[in-house]
Amino acid sequence: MKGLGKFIRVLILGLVLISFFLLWNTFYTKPVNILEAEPELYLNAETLIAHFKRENDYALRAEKIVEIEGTIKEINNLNNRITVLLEGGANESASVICDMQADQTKNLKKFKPKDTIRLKGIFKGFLKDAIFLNCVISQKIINE
Amino acid sequence: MNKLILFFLLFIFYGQQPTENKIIARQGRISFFSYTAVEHIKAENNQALSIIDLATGEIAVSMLMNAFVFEKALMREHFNESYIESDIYPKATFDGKIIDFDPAIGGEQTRMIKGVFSMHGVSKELEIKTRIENDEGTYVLSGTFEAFVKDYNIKIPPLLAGNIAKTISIDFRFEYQPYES
Repeated sequence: MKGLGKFIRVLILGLVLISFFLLWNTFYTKPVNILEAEPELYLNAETLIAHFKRENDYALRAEKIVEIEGTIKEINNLNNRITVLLEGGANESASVICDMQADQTKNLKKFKPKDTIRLKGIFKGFLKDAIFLNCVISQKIINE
Repeated sequence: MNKLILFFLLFIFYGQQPTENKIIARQGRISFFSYTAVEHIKAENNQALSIIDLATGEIAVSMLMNAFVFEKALMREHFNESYIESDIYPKATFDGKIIDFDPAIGGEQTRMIKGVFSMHGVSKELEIKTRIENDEGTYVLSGTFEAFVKDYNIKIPPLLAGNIAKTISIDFRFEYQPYES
């Protein structure tokens, strides 16, 4: 009888632990580490904008991790966010807006408008520009 | 010959006018806050788009719902998947008009914006008090308004009802540049 009581206590403890594990797995979302994440696509900024301009809204699905290369149009810190705008093409007002991760500020200081840069980020969608969040510098190519 | 040149100049002038009258903000900030005794939730979207026609005072705003940044990844997931359903309703929009707007007034002016805000498949008429700053042709619009969660058919599970406020406070700030189409 004493052994049965101990078994039930161990069983209850086991069930509680399993429940915690299942709840943790269900509700805890690990943030994506963009620096280490493998891009699903490699694209040129001008090609991407050209696709959207042709009203091909399905050119790229939201939430995909994409590596994108382009010419820097502007670097700004509007709203205290470091943002890189990549040119969308000749005579094209649409651009690629990359909201940079805070840890990229130091590396970004080496870049200026007209430089070519390769960024990696999460595609969010297209308004008048293609929007990427959590962007990091993937590989720098300096015009020299 | 002179008449012909004049005609072309007038044609070019009038042809360009609609674009010259428009201003655009590509990196507008929209943040919302939900304050309850259980939890404070704050999220920010820094890529909201807005265009104003200075001649008519018409204003349009568009934002991607999945571009809101939260403190915790779980909050973002609940917001996009359970409440806003951003895969079904990816954008929120506002179409309206700035009442009694005079773009020639320099400095600050406070105006009402009347329009229709559409989110989560629901459209509601809104009136928003807005501060307009005009610094030598550079316009900044900012303000705050409140939205009721139930107005937009957003269903909160009873278990989480205490975590999310019934009224959400929304702040916005748009810095405009001339619109080059």
